[in-house]
Amino acid sequence: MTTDLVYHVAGAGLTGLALWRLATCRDALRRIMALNVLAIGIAMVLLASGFDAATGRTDPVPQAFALTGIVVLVSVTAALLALAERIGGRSND
Amino acid sequence: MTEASLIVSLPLLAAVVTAASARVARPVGLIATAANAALAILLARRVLAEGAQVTHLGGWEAPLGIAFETDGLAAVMILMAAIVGVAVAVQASDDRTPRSATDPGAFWPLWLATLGAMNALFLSADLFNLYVTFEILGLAAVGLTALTGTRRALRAAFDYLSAGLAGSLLLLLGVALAYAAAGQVDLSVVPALTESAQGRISLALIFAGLAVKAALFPLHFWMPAAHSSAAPVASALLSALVVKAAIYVALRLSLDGGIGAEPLRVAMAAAGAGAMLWGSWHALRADRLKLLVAHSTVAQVGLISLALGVAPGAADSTLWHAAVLLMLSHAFAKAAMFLAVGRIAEELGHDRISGLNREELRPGAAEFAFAVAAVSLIGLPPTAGFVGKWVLIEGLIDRDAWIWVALVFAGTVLSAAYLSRVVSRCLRGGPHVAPGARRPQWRAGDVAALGLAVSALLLGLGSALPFALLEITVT
Amino acid sequence: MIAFDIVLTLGLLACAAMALTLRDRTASIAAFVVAGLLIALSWVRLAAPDVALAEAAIGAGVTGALFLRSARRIGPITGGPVGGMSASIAAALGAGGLSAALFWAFAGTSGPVPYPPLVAANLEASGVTNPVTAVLLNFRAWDTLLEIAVLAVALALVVMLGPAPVVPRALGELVLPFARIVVPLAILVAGHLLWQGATAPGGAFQAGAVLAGGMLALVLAGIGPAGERIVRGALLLGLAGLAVFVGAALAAEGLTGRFLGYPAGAEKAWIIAIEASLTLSIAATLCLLFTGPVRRPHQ
Repeated sequence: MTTDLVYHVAGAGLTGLALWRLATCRDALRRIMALNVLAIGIAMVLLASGFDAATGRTDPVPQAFALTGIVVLVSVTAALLALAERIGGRSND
Repeated sequence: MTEASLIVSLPLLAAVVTAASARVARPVGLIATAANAALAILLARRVLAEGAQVTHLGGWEAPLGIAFETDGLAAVMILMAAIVGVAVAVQASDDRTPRSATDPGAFWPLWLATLGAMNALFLSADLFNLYVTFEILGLAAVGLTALTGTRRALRAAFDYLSAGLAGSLLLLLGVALAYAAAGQVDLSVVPALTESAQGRISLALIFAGLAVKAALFPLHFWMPAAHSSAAPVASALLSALVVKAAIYVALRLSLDGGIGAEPLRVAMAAAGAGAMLWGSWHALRADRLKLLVAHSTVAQVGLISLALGVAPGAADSTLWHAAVLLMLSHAFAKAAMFLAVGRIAEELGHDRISGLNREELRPGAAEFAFAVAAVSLIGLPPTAGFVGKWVLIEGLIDRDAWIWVALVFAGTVLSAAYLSRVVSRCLRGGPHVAPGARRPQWRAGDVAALGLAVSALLLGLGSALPFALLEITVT
Repeated sequence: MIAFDIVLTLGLLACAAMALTLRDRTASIAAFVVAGLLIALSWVRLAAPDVALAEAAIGAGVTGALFLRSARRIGPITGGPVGGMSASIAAALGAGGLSAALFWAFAGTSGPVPYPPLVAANLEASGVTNPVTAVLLNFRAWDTLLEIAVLAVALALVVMLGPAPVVPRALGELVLPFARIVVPLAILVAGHLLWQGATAPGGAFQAGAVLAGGMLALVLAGIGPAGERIVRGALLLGLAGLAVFVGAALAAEGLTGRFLGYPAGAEKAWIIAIEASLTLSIAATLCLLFTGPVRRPHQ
């Protein structure tokens, strides 16, 4: 059992959790949060894949991908929340 | 400076300027759109004269850096976006065009960001970079959807952005898995991906994300509402260009993946056939004109996807060339159609199909443009739609793929059926029109719609040019 | 340390589950922010301190603040879940299956890793010694430029939609002294993060987020002129980042013949200059994404 394996499990778990919530919830804010959790899960499996347990280092390129992902995600989240406020909460009714 | 770096920089710079000052937005937007068209022509000329270009950004070669690959396919796509863009910009610059209730100048930065993102996307040869371009494109497209500021448009925009983000995250998951499986994410890694189980899953995830963004059946759920509730100029851009970006990437990956991407191609062809039937059925039943045109996009995306799905990779080029010609034809004709519908709705005050039989208003240029565009979408000679379908069916018959031939014919008959619902009403003259009926005024929108419709017509006669460009690939 | 990793990820999953299931909005957002901080810790454990800083500042901080703002405006959760218990169980089984498949796909890979040796070999030529900054601002600067474009488009979109501006309210007597401490501190930390990004973890995004936090403290405390002119200035500053980056990319091409190819020997100066302007622009953008624009008179 190595460090990256633990985080692979956690990343896959976060992804599954987010997908379950997306399938079962209608509340706009909660769906946006689930999409955020999904993105975090993806970043986690990405970084765990770039982690080299032998040297204890992580490939800088996926680190840059994860950083870009965080900034892109906050942009889209802000846009989604602004839209959700304008239409008021429920994503479909 | 090369055309490639200018054509990605200029729209982004112009987007910043137009976002900063609503006062100069219109002239700057028009100039930037025109300059982009000039650059697109120069780029295509260079590709024709000197062959495909590969630019390593910052001088760093892939896989460490990101490369622009300017081959014939990329040049054709950039030209397509540039031409549709000019027409849409002409309509948008008309003072009388009803504009956003929220912000009068908001169209221009969103359009220029869309343009810059698409140019970057067509040139990019890196999976992660493609993901980032999709995010710009997605946000800008959502802004275009929400432009009218009506509650319906905002709701459609929210659903569009949620679906788009879900699609992006599928794409990102696929890119992450591609990195995990192969250690790098430039496009040259695609053939290696088709050789391992993980790689194939990664490609499947990427294709699923693209299918959401291209509104490919059965993942099209967000699209008719978004495309039918947006402003006409926005619908034209969304339907004609934005969905094409995802189709283009699917084509690129399918070509790079070669024989290994076969299962994905079968899935694409099957989904395409489903889309053609589902979209046509709903277009036949639509009660509003914009909804009919939006559902027709679902059907046409299906036809293009079918053509891509049956194309057996880069070596045998006939079928995918046909698919690209269908993409061009659909881009011009569908943009013309949405612009024409915008003008028709403006003159009539509504867009109910049952209300198109009218006595007090003669058919005008917009109705004519709609009819010409319909001819191209159905695929009658001499339009680009005809050439595309002809090449496609000929290629399919050569391969004895009779089921697909039958499906393409069925789709054609259905498109003739739903488009004639409109055309038969629009173009009726004689006793149906009262003697003193007024004629609609000429507007910039009419010129734009007619120009695009005629381009779709002429492209059929001049289809040698795109075919010649498509032959040029990176060796 | 494996035990620590297991406890950390379990806590993380628990917080994420709470964030996605608690019916009280504030509690759910609090769980989300805690999950974000635990994720930042995980990034440290995965030897990615740059990502950890960004996650703590942006993923947990700014996103959490955005959620709180919207939660207050949208109100409590209405409507039950889609379908009943059986639908929920079916969805859970489906999601569980997918997540197991993902784990198999990712954990089963041990492909070649061409990037680390390439980055190491070219690090000296990049002008900076922090490999992540080298990737972000030099090797793959085009990704970062487009990412700034994503921020700019989001800004244009939010300005167009014009959600109600955040109105500062009296938060109690402590806010003023708190802001007096926080704001200069934020500026110092941001400057430090920006400068050390060249050699150690940090950089424009982390510094920008910290600076945005300081600016938000000002806005929430109701200090400073929050009039239309200030917001307009912030909008221009937010957009300027993209213009500077594109301009620098073209200027570099003019000098070296390569788009985004910085002149040899001056790479560090170019990178720091670009990062400094991005920091200000990111701070302004994040701030505006939170506060929204000032409503125009005609609305």
